[in-house]
Amino acid sequence: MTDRLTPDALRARVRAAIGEPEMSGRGFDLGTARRRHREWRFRGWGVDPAPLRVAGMVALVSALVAVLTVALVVHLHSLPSPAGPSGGPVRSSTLQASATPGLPADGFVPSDVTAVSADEWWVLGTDGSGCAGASCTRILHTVDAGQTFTSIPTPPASVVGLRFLDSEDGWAYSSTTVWSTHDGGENWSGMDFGTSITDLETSGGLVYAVSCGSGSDCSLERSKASSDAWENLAIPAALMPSGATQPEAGSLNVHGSSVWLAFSNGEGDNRVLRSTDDGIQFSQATICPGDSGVASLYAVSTADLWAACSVGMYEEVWRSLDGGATFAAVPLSGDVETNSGTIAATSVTSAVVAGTSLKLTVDGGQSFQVVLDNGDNWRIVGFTTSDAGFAFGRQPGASSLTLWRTDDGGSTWHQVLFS
Amino acid sequence: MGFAAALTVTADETADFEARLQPLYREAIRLSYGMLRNSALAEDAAQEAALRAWRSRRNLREGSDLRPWFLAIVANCCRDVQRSAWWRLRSSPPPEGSPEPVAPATGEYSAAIHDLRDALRRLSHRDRLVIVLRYYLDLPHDEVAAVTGQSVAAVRARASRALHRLRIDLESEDDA
Repeated sequence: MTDRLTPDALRARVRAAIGEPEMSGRGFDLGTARRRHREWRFRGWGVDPAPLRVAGMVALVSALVAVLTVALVVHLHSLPSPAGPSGGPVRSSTLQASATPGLPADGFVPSDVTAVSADEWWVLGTDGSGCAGASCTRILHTVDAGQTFTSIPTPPASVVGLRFLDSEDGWAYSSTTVWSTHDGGENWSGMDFGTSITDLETSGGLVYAVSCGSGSDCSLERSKASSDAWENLAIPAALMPSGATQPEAGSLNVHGSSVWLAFSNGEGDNRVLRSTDDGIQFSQATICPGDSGVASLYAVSTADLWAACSVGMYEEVWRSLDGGATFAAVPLSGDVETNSGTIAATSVTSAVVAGTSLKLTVDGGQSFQVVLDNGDNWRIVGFTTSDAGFAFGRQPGASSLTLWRTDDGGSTWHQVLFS
Repeated sequence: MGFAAALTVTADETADFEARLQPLYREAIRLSYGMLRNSALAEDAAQEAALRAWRSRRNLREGSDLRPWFLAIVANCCRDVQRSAWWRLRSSPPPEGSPEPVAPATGEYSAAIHDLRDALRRLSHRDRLVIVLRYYLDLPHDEVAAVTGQSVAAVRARASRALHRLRIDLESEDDA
């Protein structure tokens, strides 16, 4: 089991380990299901259901009476005492704000980050871990590499992704709408495409969004950064693997005039579509073995791309040195082991793979070393410069993400704190 | 349709629903068996899931796929069994009478399969569900996502972590 298994071998072992159920042959009908329902509910209690139900009702009524009694006592105790001439206790009706101005009082849960330099970035998230919906969406802005944050206005929607091209021009997207700002977030305007926006990236004065209808093919939408005039660019279905309709999640990459999207049909046909003319024309290249597809694609430059491929229990790393015209597997001396990990790179030799830990290679994938392992479910966002990059992690058992930052190309990582 | 008519269940409606569910029934039992490792329990869970599906059939939007919706109900039934006091009392050692899968061969391979069986049992419900759906029922990632209510990326991540945990578990077994 600890050896490298193909997906088929893995399936065979799992099937052998679980075996097959012995079917009673009594078949299926709703009448039988109804008859067995009571038996199901009280299975194994070792008592007849009827007395148990009576006992349950008695217990429920008793508990209700107890709760009401306690609530009444607490309420009577909580009534304010009248302030007499001698000056009894008086309750204050104002709460003292304890949070830094501009930051949520009950914590901030980051979900996305975008940066235009090592010092200036925006973090998208929500107020508090239990808060949801448009009113809880918050965007924090820093110009001093996270030393201080200020909260900026947000679009009036539950935004799930955020990108800034420079200090003024930024885009966010909610379910079917792309929101844009051209004054650093002071004002936002929306463009509703009527189809789900699944990805958004900016580069070279242009912004791209992937728009997918329900069960239908996706299209690439493009606008100049300054104009908010969107044009629809068809993704040529003939270049996509047979049966694939939507790009792999998060696979949209743009760099200069180059655009890349990864597709998988789940049957071993995995391809990268690339354009070198701002999304007008596309060509395709084969990438990744196996039926699990392209886990992650990352363009370092117009020439160099890295990809993480899902292969059974393990992961293969593939790379292109010709702008995505061809891809080849990187020979690995050990297992990277995160078969659905994300990858980001700073050069043709240095890359970070995020999965159950953050692993760094500086020798083109010949070896990987764990650089951060105090969490789980890591996701590498990318690098703004050859040194500065971001990753999200989730501590074991925690429900919310934490944001981590590197200033040395991924060798060391520091948690970004928002307090 | 009037209120009274909406509440009226015709024999045709029952038969139609049974006919739609019938092709999924064996798969439902296999999913339950993968989760509960007991044939009788698996069949009961599938029956219970069928009843729950019938009762909430109007929640299924017209034109939407019955399969992931039903398998999700089956998975919930399995979770309910595993949460019950009865299951906790009897899950260690395994329930009496649970049919042990027949090992295909003796020797190293058989031992590896046995270890894998134990390691699968130690996975959390959610991790085991993804592994069972993906590698036992052979569902593609998007269907696993539809059953579990997660995104495809989240399913891949969970499958990856579950396999990673299996590997660590098995390596520690090897070391021991």
